[in-house]
Amino acid sequence: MTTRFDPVILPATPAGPARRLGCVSLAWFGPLLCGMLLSGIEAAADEAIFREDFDGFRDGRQNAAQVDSGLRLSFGGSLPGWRRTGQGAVHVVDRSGAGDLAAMIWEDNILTREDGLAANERGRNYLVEYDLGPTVYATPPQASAATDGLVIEVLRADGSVLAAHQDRPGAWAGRQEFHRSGFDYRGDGSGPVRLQIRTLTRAGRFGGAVDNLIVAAHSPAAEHFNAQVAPVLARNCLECHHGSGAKGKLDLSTRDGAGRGGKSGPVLVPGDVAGSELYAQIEADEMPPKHPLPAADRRIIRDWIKAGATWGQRTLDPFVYSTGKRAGYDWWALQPLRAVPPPDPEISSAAANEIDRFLVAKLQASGLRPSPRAEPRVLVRRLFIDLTGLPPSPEEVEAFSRDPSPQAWARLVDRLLASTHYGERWARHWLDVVRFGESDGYEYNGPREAAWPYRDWVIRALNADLPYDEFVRLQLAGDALRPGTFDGAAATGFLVAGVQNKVAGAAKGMKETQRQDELEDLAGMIGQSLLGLTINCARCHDHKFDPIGTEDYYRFTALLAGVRDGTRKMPGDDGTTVAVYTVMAEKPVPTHVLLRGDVASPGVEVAPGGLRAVVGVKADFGLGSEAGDAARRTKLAAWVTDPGNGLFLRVIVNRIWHHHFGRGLVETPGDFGFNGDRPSHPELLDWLAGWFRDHGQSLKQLHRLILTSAAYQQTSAPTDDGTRLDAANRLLWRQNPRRVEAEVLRDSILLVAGQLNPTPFGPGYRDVKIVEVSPAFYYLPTDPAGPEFNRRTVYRWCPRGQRSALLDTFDCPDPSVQTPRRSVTTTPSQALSQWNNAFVLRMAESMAARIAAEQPAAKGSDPDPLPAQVERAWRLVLGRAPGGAERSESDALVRRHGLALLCRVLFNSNEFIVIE
Amino acid sequence: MNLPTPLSRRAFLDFSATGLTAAALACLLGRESRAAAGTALPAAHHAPKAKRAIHIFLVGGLSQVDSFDYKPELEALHGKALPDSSKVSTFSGAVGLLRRSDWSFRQRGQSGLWVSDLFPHLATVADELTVVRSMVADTSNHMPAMFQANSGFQSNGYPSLGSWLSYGLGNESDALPTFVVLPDARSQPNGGASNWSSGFLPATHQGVLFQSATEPIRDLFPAQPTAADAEREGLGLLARINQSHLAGHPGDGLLTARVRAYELAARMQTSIPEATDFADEPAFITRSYGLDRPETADCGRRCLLARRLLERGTRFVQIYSGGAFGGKPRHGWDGHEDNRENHQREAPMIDQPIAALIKDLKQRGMLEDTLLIFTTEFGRTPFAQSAAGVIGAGRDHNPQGFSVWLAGAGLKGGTAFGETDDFGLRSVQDAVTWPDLHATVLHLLGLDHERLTYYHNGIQRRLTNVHGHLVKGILA
Repeated sequence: MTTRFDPVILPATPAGPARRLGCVSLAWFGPLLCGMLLSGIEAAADEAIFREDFDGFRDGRQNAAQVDSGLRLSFGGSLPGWRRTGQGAVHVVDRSGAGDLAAMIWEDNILTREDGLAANERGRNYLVEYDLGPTVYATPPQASAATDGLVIEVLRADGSVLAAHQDRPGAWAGRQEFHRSGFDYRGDGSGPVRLQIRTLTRAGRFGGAVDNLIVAAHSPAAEHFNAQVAPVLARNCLECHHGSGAKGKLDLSTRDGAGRGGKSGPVLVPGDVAGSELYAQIEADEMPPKHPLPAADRRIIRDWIKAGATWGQRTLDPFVYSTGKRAGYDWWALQPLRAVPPPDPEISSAAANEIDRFLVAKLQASGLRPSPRAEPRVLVRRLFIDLTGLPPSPEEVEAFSRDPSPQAWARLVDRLLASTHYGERWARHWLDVVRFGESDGYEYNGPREAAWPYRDWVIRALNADLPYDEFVRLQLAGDALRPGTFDGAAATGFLVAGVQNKVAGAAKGMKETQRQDELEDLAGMIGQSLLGLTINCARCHDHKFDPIGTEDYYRFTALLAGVRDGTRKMPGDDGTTVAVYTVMAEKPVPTHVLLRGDVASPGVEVAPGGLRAVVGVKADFGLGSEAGDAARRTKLAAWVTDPGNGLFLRVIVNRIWHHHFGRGLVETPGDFGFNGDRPSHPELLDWLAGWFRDHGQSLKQLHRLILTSAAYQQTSAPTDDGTRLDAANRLLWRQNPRRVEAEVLRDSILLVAGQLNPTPFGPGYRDVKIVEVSPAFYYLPTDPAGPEFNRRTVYRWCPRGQRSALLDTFDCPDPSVQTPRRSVTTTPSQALSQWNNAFVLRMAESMAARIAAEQPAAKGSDPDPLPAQVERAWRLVLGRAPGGAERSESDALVRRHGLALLCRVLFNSNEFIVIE
Repeated sequence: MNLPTPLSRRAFLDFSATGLTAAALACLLGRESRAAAGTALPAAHHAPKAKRAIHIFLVGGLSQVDSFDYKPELEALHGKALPDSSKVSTFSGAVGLLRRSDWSFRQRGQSGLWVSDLFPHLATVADELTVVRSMVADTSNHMPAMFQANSGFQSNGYPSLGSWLSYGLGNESDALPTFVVLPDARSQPNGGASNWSSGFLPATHQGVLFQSATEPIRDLFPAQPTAADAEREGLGLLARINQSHLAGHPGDGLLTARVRAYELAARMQTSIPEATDFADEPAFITRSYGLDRPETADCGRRCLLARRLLERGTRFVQIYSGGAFGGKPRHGWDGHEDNRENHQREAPMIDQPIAALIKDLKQRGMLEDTLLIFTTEFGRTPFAQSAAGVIGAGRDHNPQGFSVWLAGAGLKGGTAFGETDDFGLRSVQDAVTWPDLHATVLHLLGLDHERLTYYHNGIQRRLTNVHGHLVKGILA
């Protein structure tokens, strides 16, 4: 945890003689712990378990060179009870000039307590508090800076970290000023703990000075506050009454603020409910506004005040609890995966697997049943489109329909997963998510000639079934993890796939603002694609709905501060060099919180780090502002893909599900936050994510698991019960019928027309004319014919702001924006394009020629080739023979106007574009 | 389901007759996404002042001090240095001496509204104009400023005003696109279709680019000529195949909507050529728009087309004056080198046609419920873009204060709202931001900018983001 609270400011004089104030008996620590009594609210802790004043330092030498600060510094000796590791000497400063020493934490030295403390009872809260001040070196290079800081850790016996707290004392400002700082932690019952202190930024820096360190357990009254009162305050009050901008100047997030009260004076009088304004306003239904507090919560507040209004945790983080208006750290999606065993309902289908056990249990609870298995012709078509984006040939339909083996389905699944077309199909889904485009966007919109290696890398990675965590690690830091390799550079194309404004005015601030825009776009894309979090919403203010603060946002963008785009020459397979549009890392500049997102209002400097919101993975990467780009992104990659990051696993599992069922278990694949959808089957989602993690994060195995479920294979026909009880089909009593995407339509037409050029990889085909009006570029749609243009649509060169009539009307998105879920619209323009587009007409001709050339065998002795040609056309396009009227009308049409017209009709049929 | 009102009884009966289900209807009108987002809205939030709108976009940056923002002080200060240039937002960073207008200003019409001689024709309809002289933009960079003017956001990928209107109001016509874009014949503006993008709204709401008179929209007719009877019989077979398929999937909204889409497509094949064919326009009308003169023919043709489209049910037409940045001479209003020469070339191309459009709408009684919006992405500096101490010929970008105007929609004409400082540099009274203007435009069209939302990636998005206040001072 980083500091989010207002530190308690101590009087400038050092602690005076022991004063007993009655709340706790902590000898000379009394005033520190009980200082708040002065402001009315009691801070309650049991007697200290540990205390250290660092006055026992011995055998040191005075540092004569640093007397300019006016303070006495010593170094070299030792501190009894503490073990020092690292090269640097122990330093102390005399705070008072009379032997009140504070330890200064220098460079690589780490101070570790030798004795274990009995401060780790399971579920109990403990307080660590200390005086913190800047180090007193006033001259460069050691002069303290705002970025200096230290880390205080609570270690388990095995050396692992139970709790850690980063703290920054602030820069030396000419005089010594300590403030009381600290943190709380919760015991896990793993045995005695040891304290450890080290610097945040190692090389050549002091981390700060520490004094009067204590560890104490929370008293029962404090624990009562933590368990009962804090959640009520956090859920109902902190939205407005928190931090420096608190409404009515009442900050209820700290014991100090609560004690101080607001604009109109104190709000809490310990022991006096009637005299406490806080309660009066609750009682009068004035607070919280519009949402009166429930009776149980009122009672909690009233009893708490009556009992003395004892405070607990130093700071209430408003993000800790979810409320009716926003998500907190306890939000479902942010939690580690739960181990959920599949339920055991009665299932009739032989094909059922664990997925069905989850689904059927829920269906049965709603009085519904799954639908029966679809007929083979429907199934094979559904599977081909899902896995390869291409329809099956009539022969493939036939072969599967006739295979009685119970293994036939699984075999077909495996065969298609092994096809190159699998990667081409699924890469397209991923490219939508990362808004991969091949021009810069904005005014110049310059072409990117070398962006395709990223597209190819995605296809290859999916076909090779690269474990998903590795797939992501390489996209975030491939150039650092595989330096000098083509693959590493290609994978990192992920980070530069978006728009880039190449026009920056000369006027001040414009370049900086533009850079911040880029970082917002990038952070947003990474958050939404990998974590389902809209990180970018916290650039100007704390996220309104999810527990992401502006400081989190800027720490996160600091991870990306070295990312710039450019084209690099990389060694290709055959000894040649290939240009790759990718990351051109540069030395990161320091990152500051920008107040209201304004580059002219920089706030505190922040260290690169992850989001505290993701529970179970440490957001502190131990990086300082000197950390290079590679270190930052490598740590980012490790954090995102940490096996303990449940969110990361849930998001990808849901994306795969989304494409197999037309809808995710969470319907908003890019947003698992408060504004996103809630999972229809939370247990199944967690089980699937866990299963995926335990199976090597193999996407192909995940596909196989889903595709071999009975749920996937059921019919898509509506039933009366289903329509009545669950019209939206969230419980999956049937498979969802789906309209094919624009790319599937075009690729399918090419395939059945016999014109699909299967050449994979390399620079894309171009169906635009590039017009340069220097320095800007335009991309005018053209309709080029020829085999080199008949490649799969994933190989289409896709500049931004250029729209292709046919693809467009089928909702192919412009790559300026992330598309986690495509729209499905039906418009007259769609009909016009599908009916009139030159490509469609050309393919109809090609298909007619193909059929004529194949000379399909006429039935019996009929010398007329036409009926066989008609049947062939139907089988190629729809995978079935025409019915009676369909056959006779098709025959008649072909006789009058030729076979091509029939092909054009079939290309336009609903059966061709809607997958059952 | 409440039927959306713009569909009207006529349309509803028409649909009912074909047995179209509500779901299919929703699909066709591009409303399914809204229903999915759980934010089903009535078509209008309140009684609209206007049913349709035309947005004229001057690309490059019209100089306010040379057109609608009369600054007599600037005359006196000509050749003097700007007193405080520390917080000036320009593009090039060059701050030359103050430069007076190159055109004389006069008070016009009954109202006495100040309009310069740059626009002599528009001056004759000054009593219809509601000028906002206190516009501010957030950037002095063209593309982000254009995106902001169109979508409220400076980056690619957000839905444009026209798309939001299409989403909010639906189409009034079965046979014409809801949102049509008419680019300058010289070139498209930079950013191309990103300017009229539907962003994350369904693609059906994006602006439809009308290109030439022969085939204004793509794929309106078969790419190769085909026999009429083949077309008819092919479509007949398609309809029967789809009908029998539908019989096996009763009540399926998507399948039904697609059947209907083919019927509507056939109507568009008639209605679009009809709208783009000016043969039935009398000569005095085409002449008034300037179709007879090369200089005004392009803009005149587009203004006339805009009127014809609106008459036939299109909701929103966007007309661009100016295209790509760069080039020599520039296609647009970006008078960096010589602002006088630049504006003197651009203005006559649009002045007469736009004035004719206003008069024409008025004489047809359409101006009352049609909103005209005349904007540019930002203004120009009242000082020269030149070295300090020099009165250069060019003017730089100025987002801190510039002029736009609205007309029609029951607005009080012949008025000016807001003020810039004595130089015409910064808005000093009643500053109006793009979100403010957008909110006001939506309001005039019956939509509440805070209630017109669409869920995308974690946020109920609005055209106005988290900003926007109605410019009450211009609402009658």
